[in-house]
Amino acid sequence: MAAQKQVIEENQRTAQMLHAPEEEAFAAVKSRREGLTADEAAARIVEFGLNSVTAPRPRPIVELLRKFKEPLVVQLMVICVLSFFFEDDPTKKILSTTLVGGMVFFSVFLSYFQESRSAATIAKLQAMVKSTCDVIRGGVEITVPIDQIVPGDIVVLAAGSIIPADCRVIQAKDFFLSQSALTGESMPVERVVMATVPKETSAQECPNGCLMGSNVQSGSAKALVLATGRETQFGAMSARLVERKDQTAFEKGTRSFVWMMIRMMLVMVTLTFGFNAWHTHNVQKAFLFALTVAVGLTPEMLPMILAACLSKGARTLARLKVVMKRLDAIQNLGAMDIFCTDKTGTLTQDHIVLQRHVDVIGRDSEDVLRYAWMNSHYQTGLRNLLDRAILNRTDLDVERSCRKVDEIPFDFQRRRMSVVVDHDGDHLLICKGAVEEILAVCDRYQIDDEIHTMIPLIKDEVMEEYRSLSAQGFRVIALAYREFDRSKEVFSTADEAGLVLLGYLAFFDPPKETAATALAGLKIRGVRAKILTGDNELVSRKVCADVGMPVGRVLTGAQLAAMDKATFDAAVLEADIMARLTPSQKEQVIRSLKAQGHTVGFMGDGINDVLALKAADVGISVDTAVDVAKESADVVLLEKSLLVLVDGIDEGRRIFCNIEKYIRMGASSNFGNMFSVLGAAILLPFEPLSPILILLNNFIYDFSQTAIPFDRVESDQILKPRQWDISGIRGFMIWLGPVSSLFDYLTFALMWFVVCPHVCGGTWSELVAAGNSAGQAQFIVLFHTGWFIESNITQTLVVHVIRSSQMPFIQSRASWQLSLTTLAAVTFAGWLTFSPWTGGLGLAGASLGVTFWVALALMTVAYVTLAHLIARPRLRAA
Amino acid sequence: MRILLEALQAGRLFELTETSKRGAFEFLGRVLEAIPEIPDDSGVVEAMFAREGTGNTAIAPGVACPHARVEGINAEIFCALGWSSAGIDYEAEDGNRVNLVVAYWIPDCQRVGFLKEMSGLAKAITALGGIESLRKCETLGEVRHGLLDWVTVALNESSPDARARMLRLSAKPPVGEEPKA
Repeated sequence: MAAQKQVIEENQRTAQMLHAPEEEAFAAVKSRREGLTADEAAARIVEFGLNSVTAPRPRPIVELLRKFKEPLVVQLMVICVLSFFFEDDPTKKILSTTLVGGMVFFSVFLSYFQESRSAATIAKLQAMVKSTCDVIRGGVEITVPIDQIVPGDIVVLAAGSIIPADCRVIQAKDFFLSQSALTGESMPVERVVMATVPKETSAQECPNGCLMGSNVQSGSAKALVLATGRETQFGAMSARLVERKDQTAFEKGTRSFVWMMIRMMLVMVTLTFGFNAWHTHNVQKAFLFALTVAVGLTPEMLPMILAACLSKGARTLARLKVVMKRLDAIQNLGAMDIFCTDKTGTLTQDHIVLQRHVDVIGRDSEDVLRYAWMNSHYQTGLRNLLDRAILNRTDLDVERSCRKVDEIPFDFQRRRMSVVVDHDGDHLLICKGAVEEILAVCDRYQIDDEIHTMIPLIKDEVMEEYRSLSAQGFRVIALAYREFDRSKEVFSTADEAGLVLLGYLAFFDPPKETAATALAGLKIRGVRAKILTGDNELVSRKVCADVGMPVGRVLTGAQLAAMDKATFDAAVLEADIMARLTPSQKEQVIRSLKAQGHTVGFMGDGINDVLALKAADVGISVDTAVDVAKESADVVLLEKSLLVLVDGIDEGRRIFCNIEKYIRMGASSNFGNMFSVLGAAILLPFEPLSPILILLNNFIYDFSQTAIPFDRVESDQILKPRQWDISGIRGFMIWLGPVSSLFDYLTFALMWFVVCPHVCGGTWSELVAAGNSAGQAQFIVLFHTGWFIESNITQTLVVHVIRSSQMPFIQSRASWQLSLTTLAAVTFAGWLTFSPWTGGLGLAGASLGVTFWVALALMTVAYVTLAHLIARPRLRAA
Repeated sequence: MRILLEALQAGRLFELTETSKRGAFEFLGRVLEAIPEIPDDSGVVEAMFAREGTGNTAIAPGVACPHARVEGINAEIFCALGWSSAGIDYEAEDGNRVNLVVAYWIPDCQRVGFLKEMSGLAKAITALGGIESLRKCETLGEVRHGLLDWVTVALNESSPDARARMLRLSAKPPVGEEPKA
């Protein structure tokens, strides 16, 4: 409460600093126009802390205690407490409590350990793709990580920048922000220098304020930082809200699986208790037995398996240069079946070279290069690869003859940018940008040194040159200019009119050598690639042809805009290339594909990709992307390569497959156990297994599953997108569960009719008739021992059957870790029946005889074979 | 406008009996193909239709300039003129019927000349009040005189609209060298 009050006071303080004159704002944060010194900045980090809104992680003990609130853990603890109070035998009381407590420990501490490791991994990975900001310190512009920004810093902002803190604009040029994260408004707002602002204006509405959480759409500015971290408006909001993306389908699926198992368990426990109590007339004992059955039916290792798989997966992906910013995006990566991307940097090398600079009819022109160079040289906004290519081509001596007068920055609506230079007494506006947008503001054109009027027919003719260059695979922009009188010093977008078209610049971005291989890899994996680009369709077609990507239907943004919803949905599903798209159209395409049941990934690195990145199931960006794109993505590739993405998809599917193994096992073996226990409760005149042995069995089995995250996944299992499949799991339950029960019943029969009578000297009936209580006790111990061993073997070994559609042990082998844990589990269980503790546990392995062990070996082989035959078609169909 | 003048001097101004765009194209295309300098099987008519498919070639109310561009031929530009006093349905954006059709044959190497010709023609049409001055003509001979007036105006008017004064900047000298004066 006190902390919230302090935050509210800080927010009001920010608004006050925006209302007040600029000098007062500077004084309030003890800063100056040259910025802070390095020492001052370091001192303020100590005073104010890092500029971060993520809540500090709770103390480890608090995180650990939270684990005890999970439904599975609560259930186990209830059982532990109840069995402590209801068990009379002191030894069994301690043993059963210890075993259940051990399972709670296993589940809680192992999953806590894995999640801590995951959190550390994520923090380390996120540090690899940290956003940075330009600041002025000691009069010099430097780049620092965003979390190092402090109140009093002077930040330098350009198109694509994230606003790093709550700031006041002190210098601005056509500066437009998107505040959608704060206000939900998608339209950009302009921010300007303003001496004072009316006191009733909120911080969000102050025309001179830019708040953390916004990003720069266009223009450039310098701003004074007023508040950082959790003292910002955004920080205050994030303290109140739990910002969470929608749950993935997998998260929903696992959650519903857990509740399904809990419901099944409750039914099972009730029935078992009922039958047992009626049969044995001992309510307390029946209740205890029912409780231990509940433990056996609970998939308590699921949280730990999930955490371990995701954590291991994230580390493996990082080695493959795929940084997961959110662990739960791993499942969507594996489930992706449509991948949308621009071509630049994925199909092409992103090594843009200026190949040609030509006049309006395609003749080489040095004037075009010179003017383009000045435009790129003098602009202060977002300098992209095209600008760099132009600047790399030549270096002109402008310092002595030219002076920059003004600039009209680039924005994604206008798609052009201008600079105005003073040269020899005139002010010359030089404008470059998208061909259509430049032609729209030209009414003249230049050939040699002659300027002529542009009529529509001539516009068509000069467009022909652009089309010709595009069809050759060049990326083309146009260049135009206009002279103004020297008296005009301030320029705006309205002055981009009546220009003279000078020529074109043609850039070439060679196709990547690996693109064809990567596209083939995606296709084999059932992922369909689509190109979503703002570029024209001619260049896009050429690039796709160069990399061997088959192209069927090609659509443009204008065509899509004219379609009704049904036609739009069908068209975007069919099309391979969608060109000339606006940023919001990219988002619309992705939402349409998602609504049609697909899991959609989108790869982008520019401001114009942010909407699409947020809309996609998996937003993928790259380390070299603009900050706002990286922040919006779920996955960041450290290398802009489709091959890296293919590796990432494979790993995502492996992780999914391993999690599925545990779930299938849990579903099928628990379902089978249900039948076995219920049947045994009805048929047998005694407990089929003592509570201690049920718990012990479960404990050993849980241990054997801890190696599932480390298991191998066969290559055929990662060739399809992996989606949560509840009907597949149900199929496993229904078909494989009874197989396990069948062999349990065979074991019952073996023990009841053969082994126990042979060792005890008579059948149960005979022993009862003879009043041979010692014989009956021995009968029960032997029965328990036989089922304990058989149940342990079948439950533990089934993972080798359901992990692959190939024949277990022969065609497909588990990883050494899983083999070791399952072997250890089976060996330990077998050893226990011969150990010094057999008396206390109620086991008698030494008395079972050769017949039992031979029969057990045969049954094990038969079980594995039958389970494999039944599981194989289901695994192949999955 | 020199190309148009050459065509008038060569007598390539015809009365169009066709009232359709297709008919006009075919007629004027055959006229162009008959010019000795234009190679046989140039496909003039097809090229004109292909160009028309990318955008209407009406340049002013009542005036159209369909053209055929050819590659790989080093020759001059030629044109042929057709006049329809009733007007042709040219599907122009302004909806007006076209009276004067000036069909051009343009080798790729002559694109500059074609663009300058178009600019000059557009200027002359504007300066002389558009097609109305020709619509008043009662005979083809009067039309020819009217067109010669257009040519005269175009050649006398300052063309181009202006002359560009381009920035002349030199590249920076390598480090260590004195910059050139």
